[in-house]
Amino acid sequence: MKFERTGFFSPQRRMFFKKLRRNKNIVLGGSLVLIFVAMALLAPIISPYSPIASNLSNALKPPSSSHIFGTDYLGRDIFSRVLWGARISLIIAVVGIAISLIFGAVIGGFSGYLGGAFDDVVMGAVDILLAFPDILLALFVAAVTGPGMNNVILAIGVYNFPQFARIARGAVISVKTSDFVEAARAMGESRTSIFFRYILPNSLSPIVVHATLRTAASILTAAGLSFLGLGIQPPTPEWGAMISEALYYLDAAPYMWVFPGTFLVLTVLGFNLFGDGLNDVLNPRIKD
Amino acid sequence: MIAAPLWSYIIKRFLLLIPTLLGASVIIFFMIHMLPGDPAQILAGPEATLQDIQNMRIRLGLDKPLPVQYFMFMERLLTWNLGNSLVSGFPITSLIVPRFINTLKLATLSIAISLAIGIVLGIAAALKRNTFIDRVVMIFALLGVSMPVFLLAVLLIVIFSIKLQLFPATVIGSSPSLRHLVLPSLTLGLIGAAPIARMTRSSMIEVLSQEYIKTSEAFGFSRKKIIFVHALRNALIPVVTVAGLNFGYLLAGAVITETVFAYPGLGRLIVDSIFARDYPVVQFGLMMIVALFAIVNTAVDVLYALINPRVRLE
Amino acid sequence: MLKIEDLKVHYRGDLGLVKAIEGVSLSLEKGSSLALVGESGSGKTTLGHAVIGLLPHNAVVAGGDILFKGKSILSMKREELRRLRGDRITMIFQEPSAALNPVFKVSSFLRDVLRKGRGSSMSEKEIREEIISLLRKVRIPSPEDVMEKYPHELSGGMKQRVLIAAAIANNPDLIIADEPTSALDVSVQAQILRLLDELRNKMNLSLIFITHNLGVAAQVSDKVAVIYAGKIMEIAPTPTLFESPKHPYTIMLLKSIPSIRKEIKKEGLAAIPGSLPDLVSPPPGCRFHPRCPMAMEICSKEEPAMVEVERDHFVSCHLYTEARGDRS
Repeated sequence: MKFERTGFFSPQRRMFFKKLRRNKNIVLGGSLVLIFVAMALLAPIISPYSPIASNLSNALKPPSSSHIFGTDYLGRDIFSRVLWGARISLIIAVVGIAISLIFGAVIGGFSGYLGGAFDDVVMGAVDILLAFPDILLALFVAAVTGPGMNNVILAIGVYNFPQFARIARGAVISVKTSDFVEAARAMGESRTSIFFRYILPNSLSPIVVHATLRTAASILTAAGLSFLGLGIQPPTPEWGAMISEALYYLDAAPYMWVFPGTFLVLTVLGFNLFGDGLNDVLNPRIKD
Repeated sequence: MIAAPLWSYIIKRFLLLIPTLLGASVIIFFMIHMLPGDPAQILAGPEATLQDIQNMRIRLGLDKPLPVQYFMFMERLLTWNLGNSLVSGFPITSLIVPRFINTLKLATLSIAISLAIGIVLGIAAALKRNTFIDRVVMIFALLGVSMPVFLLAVLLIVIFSIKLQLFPATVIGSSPSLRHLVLPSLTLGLIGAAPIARMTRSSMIEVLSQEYIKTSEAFGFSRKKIIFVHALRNALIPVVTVAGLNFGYLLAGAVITETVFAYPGLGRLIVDSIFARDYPVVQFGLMMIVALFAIVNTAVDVLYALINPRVRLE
Repeated sequence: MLKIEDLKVHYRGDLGLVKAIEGVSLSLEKGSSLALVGESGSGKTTLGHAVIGLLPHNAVVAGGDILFKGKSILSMKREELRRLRGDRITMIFQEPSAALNPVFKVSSFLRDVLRKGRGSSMSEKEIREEIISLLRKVRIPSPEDVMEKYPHELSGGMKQRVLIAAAIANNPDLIIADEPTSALDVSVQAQILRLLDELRNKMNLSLIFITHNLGVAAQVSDKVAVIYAGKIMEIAPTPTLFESPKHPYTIMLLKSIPSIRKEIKKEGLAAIPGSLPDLVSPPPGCRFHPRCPMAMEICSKEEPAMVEVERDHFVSCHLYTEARGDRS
């Protein structure tokens, strides 16, 4: 890890962008993420139909020129629902991750920076939260708070929090004990100044990588909750819920699950690829 | 053959389970009490009077302060006297135990599948680095990490159950046969194989570049022996940790898988009980899964210490 | 027993062919010891790896041959070579800590080596006894305890002794020791060198000792070959080389040995100016001439031939080709 502070248009930074462009994972993953974001942002404009207006006389129609992804069991346009589904997933993942990142980075960061009893208590709580395997914590939170968008976001936030706290703490500790912080301290810089000028910027790269990978996992988890009926409720178009609705029509109307399924996989794949690529560029290790 | 410091390490690791599980029980207990719906009202039935509900509250101990209720909860847990389901009225132990065993069967089979597939693919990719095989394995691994459990379940149902009609898609009754286990465990096993394949590959590549592998070559050992004994023993050490973490994903994934396949496991019981507001079943079911996960993680740490002689047993 | 004839080994590199070994000839009799001395990058390790058939994938044997007991190692099939390794020819490495597999106990490692060399006819009990006797031979105290230990529980010197035990386990004909003491403490170095010398005499082994240190070479070898940029500069019986070194490079190497007795002069150690030449396009003529204080015009044009200046003492240097020419 490099600990220099660099200007925005410094050669290092230009090198960095060059490396980003050369990394295949970043280019491919980034493109998938961009498509996803574009779908989410443009859903209200490019959707040909309302995502929730049902039309029973037109139900379960295979893809055609008027409904390119076909219609579901209530006659809703699957293409429009897939577009709006991207919007729902984006909001849940971004807001959920932002909540856990801010809380995790601040609490974990201070925990590592201050150490002592505060650190022990925080890490004890984090360990207990980590005792709930993966989606189960989100499921539990969703069960307690009940279904709905805000509660899914809360569930995603809680379930990601312990990992961000741990990573932030680890990063802060490794920077804190490094030579250049020692040097800054010896030069008489204040604690606050050291934290904001050195520790925070240099702890960012593992957190950014993790945030990208956790976005992928959170989209999966939110879809899983909705699939179980504990997340986004019908008629709101959500990819996991759409696949759940397709369970009775797996054979009769495969387009009901194939399209949301494909977009779900490609989106998660995009974030995973992008995260892996960022990791290669930001935390270079020996090439294998 | 286990040395004394290792024993004390094992004991220490298992003692550390106590605060974790206590903490988890506190979280589960207090959060369950935030669940919407009054269990006394549910249990008393729709035609109950206010007095009936109040009597029920007293019977369930719901009138006592929360900390007292927590100790009652812990007492029931530790004496394994879990009480009855609010919905069916059956003793919770008789509900949970067979479901727990079914989930254990599913998880064990899934772990076995994921290890078998993941390790074989990982070794193949490492040995055929930067070839077609390597690329296919890496794409498989990436898809595995990005694939929702329920979507893979749907795919397998469509292929093996609807199209080929080889295996049943749903379980009927409470004791699934091996045929019923195939699709759910394949779903979880394939998803779990992805991270194991990635880890095995990178760890194997690193080990093969080590100096001691050159020693093995200089001493003329066969390629087979070098790869499958001298290198693999080292390469599998980090894979054990990944497999342990995987177990958590499998348990959590089982919640979804069991629901899709109508598999009578603990995960589905919990989901059903959440919908039925059967909160005692939810809290004891969750507690069982958390305890299982914590025990497996501890066992994995101990196993790690056993197979990695360099681990420091502080 | 071992004969290397005009061997050429090249590496395929990004910048072109690296001519790591360019026409080396050597021979070694049963029970004798040869030190290969050179700076890092001189090709001495490549030579050692070529003898045991362990050249990396990007290496090409561009010419010459290596004969072990009259058979060409270079034309052996993989299986045949594999049987030879660890059995007739063994190797000792520079970094004992990295060279031992961390997850195997000393006993498992030695058991594997013994089983590989002697088949499965030995019983567990015989193997155990053999392991203990091997560990005794390399002067490991309380071998019964040490054999049950993992490598990380042993000191560097002990690990090197275990590797030596493995190297002698199957009574080999030839041991190649690649800088076996440079990673060890000075006090341990001397012990290991003495041990190697003792084992060689007792077991009538041949030893190729690869080192950058002429002082170390003096302690273990009958014969020294000084190698520079993939070519042999001078070969002589060890005492002769130290008494009357001929090649300017050898003389400079000898000057650079730190000595405790001699006080280090004001100008410090006589370091050799310059660095190893680029082996993709090596200098014409004598490869040493760009760094040679005695370089003459001919040195950059013609490659000097190997000349026997006295019995068993060969030098590749124009100083001596001309001297001979003058006399005749």
